[in-house]
Amino acid sequence: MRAMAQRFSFLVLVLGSIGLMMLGKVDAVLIDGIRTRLTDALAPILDAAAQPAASVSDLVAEAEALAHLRRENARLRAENAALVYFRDAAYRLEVENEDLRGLLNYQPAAPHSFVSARVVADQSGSFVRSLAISLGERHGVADGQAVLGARGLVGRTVQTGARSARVLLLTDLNTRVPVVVTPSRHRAVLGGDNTARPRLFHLVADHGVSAGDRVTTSGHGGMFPRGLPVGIVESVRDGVVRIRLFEDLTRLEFVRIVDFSGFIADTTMQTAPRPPR
Amino acid sequence: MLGENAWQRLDRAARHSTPGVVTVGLTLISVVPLQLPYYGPVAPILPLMAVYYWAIHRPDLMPYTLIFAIGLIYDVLIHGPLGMHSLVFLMVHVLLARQQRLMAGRSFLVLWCGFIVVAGLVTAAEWVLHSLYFLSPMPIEQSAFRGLITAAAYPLVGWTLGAVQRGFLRPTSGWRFDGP
Repeated sequence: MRAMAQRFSFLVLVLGSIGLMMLGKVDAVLIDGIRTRLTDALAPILDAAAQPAASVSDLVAEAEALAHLRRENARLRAENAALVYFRDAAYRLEVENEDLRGLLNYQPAAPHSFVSARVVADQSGSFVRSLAISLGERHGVADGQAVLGARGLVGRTVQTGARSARVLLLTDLNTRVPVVVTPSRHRAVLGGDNTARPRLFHLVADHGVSAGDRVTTSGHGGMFPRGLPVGIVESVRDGVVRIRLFEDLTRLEFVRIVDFSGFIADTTMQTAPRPPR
Repeated sequence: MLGENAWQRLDRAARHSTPGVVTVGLTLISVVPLQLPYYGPVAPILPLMAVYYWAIHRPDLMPYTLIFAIGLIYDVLIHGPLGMHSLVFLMVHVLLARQQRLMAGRSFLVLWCGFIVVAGLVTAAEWVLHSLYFLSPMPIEQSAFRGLITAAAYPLVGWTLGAVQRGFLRPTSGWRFDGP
């Protein structure tokens, strides 16, 4: 009798698993709701677990830094010299920009707000590239907000729960971000393919893009504002343009979730074609 | 005040919940961001090791509902299709628990070899299920690499689980598996 019950429960659970998978295929919204709620419930535990892991990796980073102190110092001196030059250039350009804006009667963009969150889970399996963060709707996070690291764009929020959210990384297969390549100013779409180096799609035929060019968001489509730093063109080979991201997505500990909604509304208004007079 | 009998029962319940607690713990640990380069996509399937270990040593303490729940939690955490790992873990558990008499009490090396086979089968099943789920063949290299890492990580986790079993549970004799 007990063996019968066991066999029955096994069968029910196996069918339940298959049923869940099929349901996920048919009604993705329902399953994503369940998933978000479960992640929410696990968020505090994951947050607690992420902290010792973070201190261990801090320790490793500390040891690494000590070992390379002298070389790092030399590198920073060189970088500092370059930065001083660029700072002066930036001041000069800022003044010039102010003057030009004054001439054009330009309305400055609305300010944006941001929150910082700890990365609590690395959800990168074989076929997805995403992270879980420990903030959600309660903290002002909503779907589609830009997620930035210290150096550049990381991805955007999808599936926001009450106190957790999922960040779809730029390297994920499903990521598509409109970008612009500087200095050629060619527009393209950055798309992940689950490798560490995302690709540029929809570039014009003879684009003249070469390694070392800067890639920033173009602001088209209204998802992100214009000018967020994304990465550097690493290689152009057989028509495939690959980007090295500014942010190392494997070593993210904290991220900023930025609400650009006011900003985007503002800039789209600005770039919208004026009716003919 | 509880009687001695009640205390004993409480003690046994606590000891018997160890496999489940440890497996859930490993499931959570498997997604902790280690900030290691290239780690995420090839992170070992830690809960599989626990499911494998307990299926051989104490299948009586791993009810099907628990295994189902562990698979579900894992799917939520790694953002795979819900139910996929529930199915995979249930299959692994039943297949091994049936071979329990063959496998229990064998040397560590034999268990590791067994796990290498299981890890290979599971990553292959993951690949097939993902490909069916997304209706297009998935890239195979990362699955293969994940399988290798999982197989390679077993000695460490298996040894830890052995220590847990010696510490919290009595020897495995005196009971029999009567599942499906």
